[in-house]
Amino acid sequence: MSAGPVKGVAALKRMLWEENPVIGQILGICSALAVTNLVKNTLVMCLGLIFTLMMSCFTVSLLRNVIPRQVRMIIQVLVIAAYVIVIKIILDAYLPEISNELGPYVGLIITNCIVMGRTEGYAMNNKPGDAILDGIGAGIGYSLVLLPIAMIREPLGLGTFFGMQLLPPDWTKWNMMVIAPSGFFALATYIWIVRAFKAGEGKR
Amino acid sequence: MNEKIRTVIFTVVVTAVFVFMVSGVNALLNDKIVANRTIARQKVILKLFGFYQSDNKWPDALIPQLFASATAKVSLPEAPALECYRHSVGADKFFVIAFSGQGFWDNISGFIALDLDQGKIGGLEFTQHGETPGLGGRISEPEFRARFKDKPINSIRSDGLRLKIVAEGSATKPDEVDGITGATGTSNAVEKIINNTITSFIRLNEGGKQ
Repeated sequence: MSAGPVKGVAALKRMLWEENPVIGQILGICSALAVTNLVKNTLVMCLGLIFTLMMSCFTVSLLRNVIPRQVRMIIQVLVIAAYVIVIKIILDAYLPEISNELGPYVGLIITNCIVMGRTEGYAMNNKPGDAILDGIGAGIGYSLVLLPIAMIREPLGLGTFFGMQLLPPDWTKWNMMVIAPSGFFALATYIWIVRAFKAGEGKR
Repeated sequence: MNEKIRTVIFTVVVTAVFVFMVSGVNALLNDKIVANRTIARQKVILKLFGFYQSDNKWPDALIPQLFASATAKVSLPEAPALECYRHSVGADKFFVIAFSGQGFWDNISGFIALDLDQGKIGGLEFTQHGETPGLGGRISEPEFRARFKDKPINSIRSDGLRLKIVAEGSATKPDEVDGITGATGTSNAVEKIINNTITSFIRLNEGGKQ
């Protein structure tokens, strides 16, 4: 996937649909399966990822001309890890319960391939302004996949939405929806539907 | 050669800058994080005393105050490090005791409430464990913890235990507790931890000193 001369808002937009990191590139699947059984956790995870992407892409892009080529990957991981730890500390301080529920997943943003993919694939070769937009785009693109999946999994699995009772209390909970395997099914179905749409779009 | 030195210096400088940033944020927010952890522990203890229920939640800001006025720390001369609490008023022998022990994977710790007047368990809460999610991890579910409520603590079985964890669904006697199917390791670990905690506390508190 070449970065190409995509600049400005176009860099953000293409991440939402054409080159959506989850649907198009099948990146970030691990976290997509793990956190999507609760809408609230998913939202926090998505915001965390958007923040990390934005800041890391910006920082890497600023440093792009001075980073020695041999150590560029190490520097990228360092930058990403620093921002993720900052997020973890802020969550621990202000949203301790959510931080507890997300457990190791916030820390695992570091290894989310989307972040490194964007810093290496785009930020290393583009100006900071474009890199920020690209990062935000990739983060929103990720959220556009995760949030709908969470909105299906939480009501079916627990009968709630954002922690509030949505379905009648005598609703038979689909335990399957709470555990990770259902994330595979939901994600696969979602990608299938979106790709079918995309194929139709191409024929037009 | 020059290029190599530049690479090393660059890496060191960038690392230093980011380490400084992360430790700065940590130093700024550390007090709040510690306070949050304390409140989380106090909530668990208050829950075991019956002050904090899911239908009667207190705002976090009031927890330290409520904790200070409702509970009193018990210090046992023989085990000064043991965290143990009782009601601040009244002389009932209802104690909340911290426990910790080796689980199947990681340490399991939490608090247990012992009602010595009635000779039974008042409740059980886990604050930390690393058991397999969905299997051993089910110990933190309310349904599992409720299995221990009101279990007798004073009688000793023929196998030397006070409470025996048995196969899920097969507990018939009062001194038997249903374990978790698929998590025998965790069930055995919990059995050991609970029995040890009760035995050591009863011994420390021999003759109803407290």
